[in-house]
Amino acid sequence: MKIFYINNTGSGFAEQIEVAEGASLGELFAQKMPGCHPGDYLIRVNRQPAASDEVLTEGCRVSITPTKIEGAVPA
Amino acid sequence: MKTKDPLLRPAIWLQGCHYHDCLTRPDKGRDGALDAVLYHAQLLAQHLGACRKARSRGWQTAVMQMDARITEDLRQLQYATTEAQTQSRGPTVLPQPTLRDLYQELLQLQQEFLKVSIEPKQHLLAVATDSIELERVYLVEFRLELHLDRLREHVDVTAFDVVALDPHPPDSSQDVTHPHVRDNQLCAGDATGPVAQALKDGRFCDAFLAVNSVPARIQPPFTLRCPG
Repeated sequence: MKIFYINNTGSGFAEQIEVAEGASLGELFAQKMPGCHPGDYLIRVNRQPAASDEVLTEGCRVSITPTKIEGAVPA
Repeated sequence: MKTKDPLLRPAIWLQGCHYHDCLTRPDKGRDGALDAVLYHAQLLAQHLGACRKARSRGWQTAVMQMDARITEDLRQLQYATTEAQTQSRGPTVLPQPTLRDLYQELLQLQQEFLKVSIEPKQHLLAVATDSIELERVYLVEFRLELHLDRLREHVDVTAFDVVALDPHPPDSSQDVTHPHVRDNQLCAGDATGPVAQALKDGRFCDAFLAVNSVPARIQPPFTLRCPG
């Protein structure tokens, strides 16, 4: 099934992706953000906070945003 | 979404801003890439004409020189064409946000931040951040201001002002209110890409969240660094 996935790290892309039926939010996070700690991110499903065992549904909107991003020093 | 919903009118306003900006904003990246295609095509035509002329007159050295230039023109033209195709493809990856999308952006903004200000006359959408501890002493709140009129020129982090509500700048530089903020402008670092992409997509809440993540990243011990 397809979901709308927004990753606000790196270049900050948003795209439709294919995930397995019955996949959970935690599984998606582990797949997309290997080695990262969920506590360091705002993770939303359909714009709402969600538990890692929440099962994703067709067409849902998942966004992952770091709570802390490295800025630059003013020039 | 009900017709008397207080967020509906701001969402309509936001949609107007975003559509207007998308329609009137010059696509500098694509225009530049297309200019490069035309430039290299013109060079190719010039060199091809010169090569044919040299051949008709039996100038072998000139023919060899023009052949080499034509080969280089073709290479440059191919590169420029590929770049122009990429630039043309970029903005159409995602559909423009609908009124419902923008309404939900505002709704989410109110859920993520305690104070949200919508000021159409000032073309302003603003939120207040949580307090951030600076130098283990000061607690500073920032107001993140998205100036929608700036999006006509730059769809990036420069559309934001980051205003310290009770600033404690170092003596050496009064305009530095945070290690990543000078003159109310955020030096976004790693957030630059996500903020720009979110603004292009009309994901205003994501843009605010990404901007908010930069001032939040203070690693103690922390010292205000004042450039210059």
